[in-house]
Amino acid sequence: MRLLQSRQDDASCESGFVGRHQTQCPDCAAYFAQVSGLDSALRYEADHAAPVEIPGGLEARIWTAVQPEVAARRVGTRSGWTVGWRPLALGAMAVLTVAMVWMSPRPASSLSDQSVAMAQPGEFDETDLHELLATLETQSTELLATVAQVNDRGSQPDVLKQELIALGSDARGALRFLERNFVPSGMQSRDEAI
Amino acid sequence: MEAVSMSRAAMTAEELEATRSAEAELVRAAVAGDAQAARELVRLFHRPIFRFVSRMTGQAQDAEDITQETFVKAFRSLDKVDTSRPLINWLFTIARRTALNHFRAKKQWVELPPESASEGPGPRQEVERQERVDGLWAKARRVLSAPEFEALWLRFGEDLSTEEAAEAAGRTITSIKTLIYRARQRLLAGKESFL
Repeated sequence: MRLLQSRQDDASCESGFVGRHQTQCPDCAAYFAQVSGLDSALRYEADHAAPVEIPGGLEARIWTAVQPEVAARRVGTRSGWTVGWRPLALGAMAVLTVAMVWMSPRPASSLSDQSVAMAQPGEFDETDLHELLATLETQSTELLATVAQVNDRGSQPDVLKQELIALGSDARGALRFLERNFVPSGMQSRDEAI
Repeated sequence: MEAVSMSRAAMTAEELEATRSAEAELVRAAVAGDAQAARELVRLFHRPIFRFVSRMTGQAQDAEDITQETFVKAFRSLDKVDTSRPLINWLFTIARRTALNHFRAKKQWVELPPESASEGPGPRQEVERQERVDGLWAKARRVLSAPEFEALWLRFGEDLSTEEAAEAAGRTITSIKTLIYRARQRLLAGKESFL
């Protein structure tokens, strides 16, 4: 009987093996009629008889408790961007900056890198400086645009904008550092805002 | 989102699929921190979860606390939910575990509170009085063991399939079938008082 009921549990009593057996076994047919009535009564009473009364304000109470978790998810998403992409972008920018310094046309000189800081105006003129700065600005802009494309989430434009502004600020700081340390003092820009 | 709030028993296969899709969309938005989607999930599911916990515990105040805790836990791990399955089953599982933890210290899981020594009807008498007018389910809660009642409620009260009920109760399908068989036997043995 238990085996029969187990087989019948998720299927109609009138079909398949159980149904065929019931046509030949009045006891089982009577039993399944009882089971079927019980199941129907259980389903009906669950929906209609003595329904559970939902306390007033329960939804608001739950929402109040849940809100910090939802807010934490918003912050967590922003943190994810900050933790995941900002260091990566800064690292890429640092590598790019070093590469630009190495790749930029050098004067025909056998002086070591340290000597560049003491270079004479004739070896590194103002045109070279502006060209270097323009190249770095272009590369920075392209890098920021790439980061923006990769991080195409769409739902946090303000967060992204803030991060890009912060990256731009970091890039300008890096350029100032380069100017102070690698450009002859007589050729450094008079304008603070490079 | 109307599809989500429909009774699952009354749905066609297409409607069930649409419901799951809508649920998955809400979950994804809530995981991304969308407050509106999160609020919608609370609106849609707080009733069935409260109803489930209330039926299991028989204690309204505890059921409120457990329901609230269930949602907090659910939102804390919302990114781990399998959106290809009905969200309500996952919530039932969390609610069940939360209720078990809640009552573990009190040892009151589906048990009535102790009788009061004061005059007048105590909590037990009050619950029994309520059961007399509640009908089949209240009586089932009184005569069945906690696992039997839980299996029966998940299967017929929440209208889950045997597989879904097993998943929600953290049991095997065979175990759920056995519990339901025993529950039916007990209820049918006293059928004159039930049917």
